[in-house]
Amino acid sequence: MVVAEKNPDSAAETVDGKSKKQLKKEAKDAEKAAKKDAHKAARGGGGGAEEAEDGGVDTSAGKYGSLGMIQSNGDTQLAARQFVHVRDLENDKADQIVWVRGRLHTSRAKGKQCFVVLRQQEFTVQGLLAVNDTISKQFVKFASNVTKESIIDVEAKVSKVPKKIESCSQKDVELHIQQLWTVSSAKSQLPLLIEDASRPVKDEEEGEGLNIRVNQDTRLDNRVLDLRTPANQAIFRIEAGVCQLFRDILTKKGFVEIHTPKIISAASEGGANVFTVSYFKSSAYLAQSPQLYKQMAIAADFDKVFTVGAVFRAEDSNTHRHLTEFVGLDLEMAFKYHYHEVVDTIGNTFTEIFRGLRDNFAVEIATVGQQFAVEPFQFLDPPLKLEFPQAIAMLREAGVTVGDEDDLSTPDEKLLGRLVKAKYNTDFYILDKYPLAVRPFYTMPDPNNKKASNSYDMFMRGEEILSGAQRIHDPEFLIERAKHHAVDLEKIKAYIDAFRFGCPPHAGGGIGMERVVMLYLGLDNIRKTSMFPRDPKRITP
Amino acid sequence: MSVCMFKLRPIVNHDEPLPVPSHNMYTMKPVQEAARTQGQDKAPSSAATVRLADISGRVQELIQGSKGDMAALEGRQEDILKKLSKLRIDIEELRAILRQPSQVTASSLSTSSNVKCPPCPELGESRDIVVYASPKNPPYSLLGLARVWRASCPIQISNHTHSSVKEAPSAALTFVNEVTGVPNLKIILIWKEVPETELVINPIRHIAVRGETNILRFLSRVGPTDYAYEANSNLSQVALLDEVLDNCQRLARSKTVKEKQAIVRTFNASLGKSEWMCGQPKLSIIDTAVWSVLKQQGPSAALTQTLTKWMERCDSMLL
Repeated sequence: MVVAEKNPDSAAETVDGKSKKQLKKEAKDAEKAAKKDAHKAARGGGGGAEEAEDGGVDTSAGKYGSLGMIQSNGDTQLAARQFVHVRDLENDKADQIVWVRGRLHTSRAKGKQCFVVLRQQEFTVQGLLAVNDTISKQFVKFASNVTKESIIDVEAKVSKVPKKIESCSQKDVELHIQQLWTVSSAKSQLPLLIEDASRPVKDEEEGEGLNIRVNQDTRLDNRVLDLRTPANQAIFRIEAGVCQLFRDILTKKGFVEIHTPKIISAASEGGANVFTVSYFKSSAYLAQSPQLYKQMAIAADFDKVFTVGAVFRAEDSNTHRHLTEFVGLDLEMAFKYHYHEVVDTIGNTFTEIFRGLRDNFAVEIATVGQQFAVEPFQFLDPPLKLEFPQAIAMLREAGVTVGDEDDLSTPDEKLLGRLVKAKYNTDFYILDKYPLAVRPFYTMPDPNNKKASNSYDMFMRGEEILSGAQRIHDPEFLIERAKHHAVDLEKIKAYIDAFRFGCPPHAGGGIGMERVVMLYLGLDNIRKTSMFPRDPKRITP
Repeated sequence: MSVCMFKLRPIVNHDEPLPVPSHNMYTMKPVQEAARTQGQDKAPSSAATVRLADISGRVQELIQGSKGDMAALEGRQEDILKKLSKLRIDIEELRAILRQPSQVTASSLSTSSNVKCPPCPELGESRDIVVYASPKNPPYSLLGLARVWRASCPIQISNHTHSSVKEAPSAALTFVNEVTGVPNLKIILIWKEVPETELVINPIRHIAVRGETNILRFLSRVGPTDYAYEANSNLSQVALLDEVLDNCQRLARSKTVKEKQAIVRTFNASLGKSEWMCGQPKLSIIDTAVWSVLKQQGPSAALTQTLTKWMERCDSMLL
C-alpha cells in the first residue's frame, strides 16, 4: 500500500467526518505524540517548554518530533510506511505523498519558512516547510533546530518546480513537508561539513565566493563523515565494481578463485620489506604477495587461478601511491607454449574491466568528475603492446638519456605515458620484454636475446599497475638464476621445492585494486580510493 | 663646388686596374672602375696602364714582409677546398641513397624495375604509423595498398578500437593484414570517432596528416617507387592526378547529393575509356583513392556502367 493513497489530502484531517483511514492515521499520530511526549519527558521536557513559550494551540502537534531510539518494537503503523528513495523522486512522482528517510544536508530557516536539503547517499532533494493552517510555527521552529547530518523521516508532497534547482541532484521536484521525525540526531558541532568536503576542486585562481576545502588529514580522521560525500559514495561503488568485474571476467575465462595465507614464515618476494608479527614463541611475517601460493596452485594443477586479498608492504614511503596495506588482485595462469597467451589474457581482462566500468558506472564516474575534474580514461581494444626497446627509442626521441638495460624511473614512466597517449590515444598499455637485469631472479630469460626477459609491466596513465613475468618452472635453472642474483638458497628452498614434481610453464601478475581505481578515475592520491587507508603515518581509523 | 679652398692630391689613384694573383678563385670588377665606366666612356686610359707596373711593385713589396702568412693562408684554402669537395661527394652519395635524383628524367622512371621503398628517416626504426579512422568511413585504401604492395612493401595492419567507440565496427574484422617476416611498414589502425582519417607518426615532431587522400600522398612517397605518382617529369600530368585526389577529399566531405553526383561525374570523366584512372598503364594510388571513397559512399553514389566495371576491376585487385 502506498502512502500517497492513504493520505489524499492532509488538510482534510482537520475537517470533521473523518474517513476510516483518517481515523487510523490519527490514532497513529496520537500514539506518536504520546511517544514523543515520553521522550521529551526523558530529556527534561525541553520541547514542552518551547510549546509553552509559543502559547496557542500547536496545530501540527503529532506531526513532528523525535522517534526516539528505534528498538524494533514492532509498531505496525510505522511498518506500513512505504519509503521512496530520493533517487526516484522525479517528475512522475509529482503530487504524490511520499515518505523519505534521509539526512538533513542543510537547513535554512527564514521567518515562517524553512528550506531543507534532504540527502540520501549521493542524491539530494530540496524540501520546504512554511507556516500555514496545518503547519504550526512550532513545527517550523523544530525543523530549523534539527542538527545537520541528522537522519530524519519526512512525509511530504512531491511537487514540480518552475525553475530547476541547480544545487540538488533532483532538479525537477521539491518536497512540501507535512511530517518530520528525527531518527538519529547528529552532534551539533561537526568536524567537517559535507558541503565543504564535496566542493569541486578548482584552480586556486578561481577563488570566487566560498572556497573552503577540507584537508586530506581532516577527512581521513573523520572518514565516516567524509565518506558521505557524493564523490566518495561513487568512488567506493566503482571500487566494488572493479573487484566484481575482476572476479566475474576471470571466472568466465575459467579461472578459480583461491585464498592464500597472509601469515607466512619467510619473505616471499625479494625487494619489498615485510612486517614481522609475533607468532607464539617465534615470529612470522605478513604476506607481501600471494605469488608463491599462486604458483603452488599452478603446480597443483589448478591451471588458472586468481586471488583477491590483503597484501602488506613495510615500505616507509609516504607518496601518493603507496599504502602499507592494500587489496591485491593477483592472477596466475599456466600456458601452452608462449607467455603471450597470458599477457593477452591479462590485457583483455583489463580492457573488459574498463569497458564494464565505462558502460555500467557512467553515473558514478560522472559524479566523481564533478568534484575532481579529470579527463575520462581512454583505452584501446585489444590493448596496445609495446616492446621495451621501442619505449626506450620513444624516450630518446623526446630527449631523455636512458641506457638499454636501465629500468625506467618514475618520471620517465610518466613521460612515456604521455608520449604513448599522444601517439596512440590510450591511457593503458603493456610494455613487454623488460631487460633481464632489472627483474627478479625467478623471471624467465628471453631465449632470443640474452639481455631481455619474458616479463612485462602494464601502465595506466603513465603509472605502473602490474608487473609480471613468465616464471622459471624448472628447479635446476631456478637455482642457477638464484645463484646469479646471489639469493640465499636456504631461504627460497620451499619455493624451489614446489617445482620438483613437475610444473607447467606459467606466468602471471598482480595489481593493486586501490591503484587501479585511482588511476582509472585520474585521482591524485591513493588515500582517496582506500576506505580506511594504512600508510606509515596512519593506522587509525 | 665652384669655390675650392684647398686642393689635395689624390692619395690613391683608383683609376688603374690592380694586378691580381694568378691563383685567384673569384674575379671581380673593381668597384670604382665599374662605377666610372658607367658614367664615362669605356675607353681605358693608356696612362693608367703605364703606372701599373709601378703599383704592382709596391704591392709586391708589401707582400714580401708577410710571405709566410700568405703561404699558410693558401694552405688553409686548399684544405677547405678539399673538405668541400669531399662534402660534395658525400652529398651525392646520400642523394643516391635517398633516391632523390637532382633531375627527374623520364628515363629514370621508365627503368623502374627496382621497386624498393625509399628510406624514410621520419618513420624511425620501428617504422610504425598510427591511423585513426572513423568506423563510419573505413579507409579501404590502406587495405588495398597492403594487398597490392604485398611483395614490394609488406604492410602489417593491426586493429584497435578506441574506448570512445562503443562497439568494434564490423569492418574491423577485414582490416587485418598479417605479414610473414619483417614488415616494411606497420600500420596501427585505431577506430575512433574522428571527423577525418588521421595519420600520426611522431606527435613530438610532426602534426597529424588529415584526410585519407593526404595519407595516400604520404604513403606514395614512402612506398614503392612505382607507385610514387609525383615522381613524374610531366608536371601537368601530376597536377591532373592531384586534382583527382582532391576530388576524392571533396567527395568525402560533401554533404548534398547534388554535390556528390557532380564529383562522381568528374571521376567518370577522369576514367574516360581507359582501364585505369587518368589513363595510367596500371592500377595507381589514384585508383585506390577513388575506389576507397566510392566504397565509403556505398550504393548512394550512382555510378555509371564504366565506373561500376572499373570498381569491379579494383575490387579484384585490392580486396
